[in-house]
Amino acid sequence: MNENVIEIQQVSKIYDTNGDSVHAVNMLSLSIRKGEFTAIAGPSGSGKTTLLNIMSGLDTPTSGNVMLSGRLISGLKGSELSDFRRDHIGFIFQSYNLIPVLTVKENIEYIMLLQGLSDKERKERVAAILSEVGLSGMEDRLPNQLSGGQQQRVAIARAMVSRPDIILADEPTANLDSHTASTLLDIMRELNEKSGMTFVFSTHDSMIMEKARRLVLLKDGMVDRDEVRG
Amino acid sequence: MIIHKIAFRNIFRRKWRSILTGMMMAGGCALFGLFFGMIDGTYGNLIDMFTRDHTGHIQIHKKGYLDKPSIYKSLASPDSIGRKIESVPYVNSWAPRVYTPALAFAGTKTTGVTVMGIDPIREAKTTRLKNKVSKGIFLSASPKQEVVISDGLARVLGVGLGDEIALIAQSVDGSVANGLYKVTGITGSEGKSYGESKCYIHINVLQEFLSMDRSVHEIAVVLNDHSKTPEAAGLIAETLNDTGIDVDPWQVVEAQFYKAMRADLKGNRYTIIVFTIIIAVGVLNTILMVVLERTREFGVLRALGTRPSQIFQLILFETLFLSLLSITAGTIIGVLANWWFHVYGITYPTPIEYGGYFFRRLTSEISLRSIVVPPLIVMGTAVIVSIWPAVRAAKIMPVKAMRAN
Repeated sequence: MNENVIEIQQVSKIYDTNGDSVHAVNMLSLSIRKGEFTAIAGPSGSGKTTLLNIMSGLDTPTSGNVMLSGRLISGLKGSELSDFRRDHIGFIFQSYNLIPVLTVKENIEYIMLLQGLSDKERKERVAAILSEVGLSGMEDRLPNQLSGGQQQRVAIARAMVSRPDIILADEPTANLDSHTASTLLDIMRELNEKSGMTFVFSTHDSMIMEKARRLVLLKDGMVDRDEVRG
Repeated sequence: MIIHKIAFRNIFRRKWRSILTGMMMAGGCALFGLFFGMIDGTYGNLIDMFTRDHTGHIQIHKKGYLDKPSIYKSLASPDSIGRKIESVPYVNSWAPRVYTPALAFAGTKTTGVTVMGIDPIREAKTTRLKNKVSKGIFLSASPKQEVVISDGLARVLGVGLGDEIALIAQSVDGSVANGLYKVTGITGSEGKSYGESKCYIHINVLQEFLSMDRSVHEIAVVLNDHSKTPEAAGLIAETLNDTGIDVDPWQVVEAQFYKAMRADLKGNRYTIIVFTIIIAVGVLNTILMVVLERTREFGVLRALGTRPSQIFQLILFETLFLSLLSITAGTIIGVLANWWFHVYGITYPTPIEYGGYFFRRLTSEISLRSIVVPPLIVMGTAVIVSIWPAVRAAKIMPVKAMRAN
């Protein structure tokens, strides 16, 4: 459990706003080990989302290096970067971002279909994950026929079913009531314990901060505090 | 494939927009179909009218006859030529003809006429002249002093069935020939090919009248398939292999009409271009709206690991599927419209003259072109204009796209 799946070295992200340079992330270094359940927290503008985007290769740092699963992602471009994200990173978004024209089952299958997994393999994995997130029997529903909590469960299932190395979750509970948020966090923690997948959250939510095994607090684009809990 | 599935279902997300865009493409397809059907129908009828009424698909003359007709430019052995061309592919039938200008008299009235000597049996097999006899009967199979005249000539001369007319003309030997002929039939004045001052007599009677033995001025040939005219004309010329003989397709014989038709068809290209531009702008507008509206969604798809090329395909397939549904509807509407115009048509209150012939009825034809070309134009246009928005969508930066509302 001490293998680093994410290594951020001296990363900066500078935005040019009306001629002023804003350091969203400032010479930040951070390592996340395999299987960690980490929350990155901090006030608005502290650089949480920017850091998450840089970690996933969705955004490029102005300087510094990002290694994911032992690979330097700053050198990847276009289809290569897409394939890397598809195979190594699972995303959970604040607003679920399910594909509206696909059913629950098809949304969960989406990444596996892009990966070219066999029909049998997909069916088995979908059935298992649906049961784990408590959505069995809802396979054929469309996203607009689901509640917010159910949609986020689908998003969690979609992120996990392709068995990526890392799950990145950007404010995953922000649109949910506290009960639903707590249930989903319990599900994610359980899945983390069972599968050994690495979870990284960007959050404001105190519940996530409490339940995380590691809490990284950001301030002005830098690590202010980094606590590992038992 | 999942991308195709998403593309297809996306069509139904914004139903009204898809319906409106689809209606525009379907309407364009149907209009193109009707447009081509009308062109093919109108020209097809017109070509059929003058080729089957009189001209034939191919004509054979002594060299230079068409440029400067003369009773002295004749083909000496029409039967030998006829036997040869009967073996040429596509040839259905042939008919020999002799022409001369003459003066026609009846009582105190006189007028200039064109006399055409025909073989009643062969002419009936080759053209519809026999069917155009509206009063009386066609010429007898054996040579007799009979004449069939046009309705216009009958009016000018004030004659009817059973009356006699006198014809005076210069014969080939330079003498003045004259003869008396009994009117047995009158042709209806249904087209310019049955001109106002024409009369028809048995070919042997006219040959004797003009002292020109068995030679003829023209051999008209009708084919099984008019679209093979240029090819058949070449084959006939090759078979006859005689530099003293001209073998001309109807496009040369009726050069004035053919030129007018070509010019008209060329003008139609602009109509097609205008239609195409309207369709292109409509489709482009819709696809750009789609890309703009769904920027965030494309960003999410990219974040999940969808390749730029797959986003490109997604947009292209959405256009393709919408086009396929639209052109299917458009083609059916176009075929039905063409069928209606083919069966019922629209008759003009007064005939419209065009290239020396008369359009009497606006009609259509369900041609292969009217079915195949419109869908290809519409779908091709839609796919081409969607390339640029698809490239834009494929190039979207996920992090920026996901910030979009």
